[in-house]
Amino acid sequence: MIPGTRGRALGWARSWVVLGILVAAQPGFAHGEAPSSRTEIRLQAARAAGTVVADTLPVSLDSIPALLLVESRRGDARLAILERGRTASGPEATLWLELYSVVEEVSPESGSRAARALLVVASSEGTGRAPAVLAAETEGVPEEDRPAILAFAALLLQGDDPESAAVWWERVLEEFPDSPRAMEATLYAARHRADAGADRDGAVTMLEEMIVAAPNHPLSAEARRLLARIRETGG
Amino acid sequence: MTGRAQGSPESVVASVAAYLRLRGGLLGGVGGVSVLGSVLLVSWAIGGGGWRPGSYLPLALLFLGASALVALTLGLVRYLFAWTREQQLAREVEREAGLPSGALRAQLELDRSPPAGVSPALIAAGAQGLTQRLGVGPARLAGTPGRELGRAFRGGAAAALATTLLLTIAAAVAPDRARVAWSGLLNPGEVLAAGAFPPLALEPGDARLPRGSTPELVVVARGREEVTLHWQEVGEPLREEVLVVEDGAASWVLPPLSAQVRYWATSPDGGRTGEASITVAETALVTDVTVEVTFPGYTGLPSEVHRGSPPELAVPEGTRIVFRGNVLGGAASEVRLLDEGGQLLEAFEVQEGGFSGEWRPRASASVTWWYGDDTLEYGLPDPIELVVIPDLSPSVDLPVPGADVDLPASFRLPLLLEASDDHGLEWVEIRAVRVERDGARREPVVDRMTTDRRRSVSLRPMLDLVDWGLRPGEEVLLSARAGDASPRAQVGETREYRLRVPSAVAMRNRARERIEETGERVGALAERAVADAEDLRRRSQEARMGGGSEGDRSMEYQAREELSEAARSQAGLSAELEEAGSALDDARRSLQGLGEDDGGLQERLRELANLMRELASPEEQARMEELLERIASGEGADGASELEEMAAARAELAEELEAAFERLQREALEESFAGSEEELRELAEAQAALAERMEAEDASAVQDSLAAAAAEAEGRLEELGQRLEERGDLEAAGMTEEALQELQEAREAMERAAAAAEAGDSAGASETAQQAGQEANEAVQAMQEARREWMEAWEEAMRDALRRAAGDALSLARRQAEIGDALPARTQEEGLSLRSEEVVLVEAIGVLASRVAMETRELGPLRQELGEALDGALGGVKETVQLVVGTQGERTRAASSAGQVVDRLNEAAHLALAAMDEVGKDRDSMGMEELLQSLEELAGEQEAVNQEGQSLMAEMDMEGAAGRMEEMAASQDAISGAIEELSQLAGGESMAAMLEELAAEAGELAGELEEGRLESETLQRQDELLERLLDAGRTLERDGPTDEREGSPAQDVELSVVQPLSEEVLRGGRIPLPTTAELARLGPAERRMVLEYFERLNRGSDGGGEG
Repeated sequence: MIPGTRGRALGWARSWVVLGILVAAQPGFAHGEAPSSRTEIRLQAARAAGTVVADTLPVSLDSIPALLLVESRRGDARLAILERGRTASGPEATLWLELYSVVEEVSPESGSRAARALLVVASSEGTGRAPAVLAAETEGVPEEDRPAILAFAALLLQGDDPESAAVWWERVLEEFPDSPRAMEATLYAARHRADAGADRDGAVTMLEEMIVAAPNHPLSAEARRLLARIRETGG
Repeated sequence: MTGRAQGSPESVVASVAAYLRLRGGLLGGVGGVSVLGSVLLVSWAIGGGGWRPGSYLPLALLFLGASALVALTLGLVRYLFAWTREQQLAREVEREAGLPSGALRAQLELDRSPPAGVSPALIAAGAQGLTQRLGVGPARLAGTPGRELGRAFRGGAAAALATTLLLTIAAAVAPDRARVAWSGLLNPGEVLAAGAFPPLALEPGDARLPRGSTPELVVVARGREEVTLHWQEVGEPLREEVLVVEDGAASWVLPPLSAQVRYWATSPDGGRTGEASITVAETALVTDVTVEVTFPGYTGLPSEVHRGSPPELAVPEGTRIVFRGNVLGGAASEVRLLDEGGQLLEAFEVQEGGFSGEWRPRASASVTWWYGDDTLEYGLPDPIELVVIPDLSPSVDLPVPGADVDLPASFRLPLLLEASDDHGLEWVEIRAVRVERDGARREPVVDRMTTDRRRSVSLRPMLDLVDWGLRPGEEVLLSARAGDASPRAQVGETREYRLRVPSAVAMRNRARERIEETGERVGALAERAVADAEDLRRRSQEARMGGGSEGDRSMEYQAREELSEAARSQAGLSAELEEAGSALDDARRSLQGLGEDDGGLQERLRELANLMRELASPEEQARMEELLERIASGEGADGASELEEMAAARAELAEELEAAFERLQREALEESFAGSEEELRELAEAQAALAERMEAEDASAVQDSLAAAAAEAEGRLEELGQRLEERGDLEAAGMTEEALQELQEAREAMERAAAAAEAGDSAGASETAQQAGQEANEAVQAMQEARREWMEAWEEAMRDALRRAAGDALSLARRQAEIGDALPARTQEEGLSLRSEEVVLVEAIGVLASRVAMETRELGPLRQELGEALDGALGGVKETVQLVVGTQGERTRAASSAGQVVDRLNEAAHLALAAMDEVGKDRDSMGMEELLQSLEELAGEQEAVNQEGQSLMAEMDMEGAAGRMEEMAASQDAISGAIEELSQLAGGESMAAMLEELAAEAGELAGELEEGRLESETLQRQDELLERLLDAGRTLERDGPTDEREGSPAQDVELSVVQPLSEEVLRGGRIPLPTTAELARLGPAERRMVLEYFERLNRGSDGGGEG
């Protein structure tokens, strides 16, 4: 063995022992429920080993946008998002999971923007600022990231500002009709058009096309119901 | 002549002389008789047994006898002549008659020649007077000779009488002896001449034969024409028979033996055998024998009692053997035990028809019994092959495996251990020593079992090496030992058997074959389950239609029969699924030798095996049995409903089986890839090694075998390509085809190299072999590419499926959340509307669940988890459907139920998203330990290059610097290539990116060195590269805790609360280092790690600010 490498190897081995001790010392890790996946294992290990290797620990949610931009910390940020999606409940969890999906799909910068948008919109300070924030965050997003970012913006607005959300969904349909999120966009936009009574025919057409294009899609059932309702009620 | 006048002195003298002559004659007569008698007596004495042919004794005796007679006669004649002279005789007569000396002689002279002048009358008167005085008779006048002859005569007469008497007695007592002896005297010449014949011989000689037997007596009389056999049975007269000699022998069969017979033979030449006798053997019997064996006390063995004489007896030294038995007949006073040489081993006195005695054998022997006669072959107990076992070491053997063998794929080897010991076994043990590929031996693993001092044990343990993590090329040395219970505690040991671990390729091939077989079986089961489901559904419909006619007993009976048949079918299916699970376990075990190098296949096979067992569904089986019981007991069973349920269960099973079939097919393919890749790699390595020594030696045979191996590998690649095409993996199939072509070229080069080597063109052979090695390497690379392409395509498809599943689940979660926001419904109409929306959601989630189940069928447990989450959501939404139009309380609960549906859908999305990262991770990424090791090795190589650089820097002007520079550049370039390869194999984007950067840096450095630039800046960059390589290893360690690692036992650790990093920190503020006191509590290595960590963190923060 080359001089020096032995010492390092021993150092690493010893560090692993320390880490093992720390991990084993954490209640619920060694004897708790079995982790459900490798990611889960990493999260547990990271939590358990925080005292020594703090840089693997998911830090505060606020730090996620910044960490997504640091290559060596990006993984931690992603894990933190996923963890948040797991531990939160209801629509909040849905949004965090959606963010994870977006981060996986887009560049780090776009992912960071999406995270920042989520944090702002979700915060109390974000009330009423969402459209502006989203407009700012979607500005200059690379073309390949736009479908995901636009759709995410629409989702962020859906709860509190359906009007704006519909606008964003329409943008998605307009710019990226073949996007994976086009089905949801179609459904939302068609419902909004029908509910608003602005363009019932257009809504019907959109729904019909959607059903024809993907009759077995999980959202097609809702599209059929909506289509029937529009036809029944005329609006 | 002058006539003798009667009464004249002259006549007196004449009468005395006559008297003496008579007496002399008589003496001669008795002397002759004595001499003759003596000769006869001597001959009787020494020749009575027959004169030895050629003997001179008869002749000598005759000569002596004749000499004695001659001497006697001559002596007598001389004596008489001396004494019968007139002068001598006249003197004796004068003395005896008292006459004056000369008176008689004078008278005789006067008578014979009277002097002139003398008156005749006077002469006559004188003569008369003298005659008167001599008238006493010649016997009195014989004087000294008369007396001497008289004494001699008496002695001679006595001797003659004595010899005559003795002869008479000898002739009477032993007439044959006398005849033989005297016949030799009568024909001494024949005896002397008979020396040309060999002596007579008798068979069987002295013998002891059973009563009633008819012995054949044989006289061996070579050179004779006939012999006379003489025999005499006790109480019977002597018999004899003249026998014609044929082929040198004559024989005679005696009548049945009833008494002792003595016999001998004579021949006309005077030959005579000694006398032999045949005695009659009486039947004797030794019965009721018991042999009690008492082993030495320290053996702890119980006594053994054998009824009868045991044919074989093995006893330890010091054993006491007591013999008991009865005797019938026979006259002997003891029963003896004899060894094979007839030597006495032990004797037991016979008393009152029985015997008893103890014997302590000291040595092994073939013990035979003796009772009165050693010729008896019956009536005695069987001989005993007695083995006295000295205090030997225990005997131990391993008949199974009994030889050096390859370990089975399961790494479980049944053994047969047989051990025995005369003292009893205290323990036996099995020792296994792992021998690594470099020949290093590990500590032996010993499994000892106590054996309760049994004399022999036969054990069938299972050698389970599953957990040893054996690798191809390694061996296990197996041996067994046994310790005895003797005071010396001796130990016996077997030889070491070599258990070889099969090669990785062999393991993979075996595993692949088992997986393929199981896959086919599962596929068939899936088809059967589909058919069953359809059949059950049809029967259910028929039963339902028939159920309309109440009381139709035949329909009920039919439904029951169908249910019974379906239940039996379920049992058969379950058994087959159990078998499939076992087959997969076998396949998994066959890969255990690969350790962690199996790309996670073992774990996946374990999952599949468990899945098979789950699908065997003991619950369903129990339900079927319960149903059958209910049918049998006549309890009501809704046949149609039951059949329908069974149809649904069977359809579900079919779906699961199809998914399992897909997975198995994929696993088999993957194993084909891995096996082929491994095979090609081994082939390439072997070819490279061969090429190196090709020039120095004739390795055409080895090259031929490698070419043959390449041809076999071609066949497997071809098959793999076909299967990929059949599955539609055309790109991977095409790349496999490329690998096949490379391999074909390699094989052709191998064949050319072999031919060149055989032709003696070693240089050409070496060159071509190297070319073959390069082409084989290219085939390996092509194969790796094909495999990577195939894996990546699959992974991408799986990630897409998961991404779609997550997206749709989240869409539906949002939809459910929207509906939930409107709950609880305020009016009935609103409730109905919401209900319809929930109903649509039921359909949507159902569609999603089906699609996810279909698309993730190759993902195993994840598919199941996703299915469970979606099923939960489906159940929740169905419940919501019910609640939404229910009572007030139910409507309130509907909102809560809807919220749970959202959570379940989120859970499904979370699972799918989390799994996207994991797809293929355990398949194509290099194991962390392996990666760490590779990084460590590369760091070591880089360090060596750095040192060489520093050394070279100081010696740039010296001779050879250019060459060293070239070598250093090549080393640096090799490091770059190796890092590049690692980056492709490493899991995780960040690690791959980091390694790519390092590879690029190493490549640049190599370029500079190639150009001959070695400056201080270059050395500094090399040092930085080394440091980054080491950092990469540390980063990997931090990021990589996995479930494969084992933690040390928990110890008290002071935990501190870790707060989230502040914004300030994230914006670039420096994190304060730990205090000295805090650092002092850590070890040097940990302290270094912590300091490096903070340094890097602060450096990262600086950099991060820019981003």
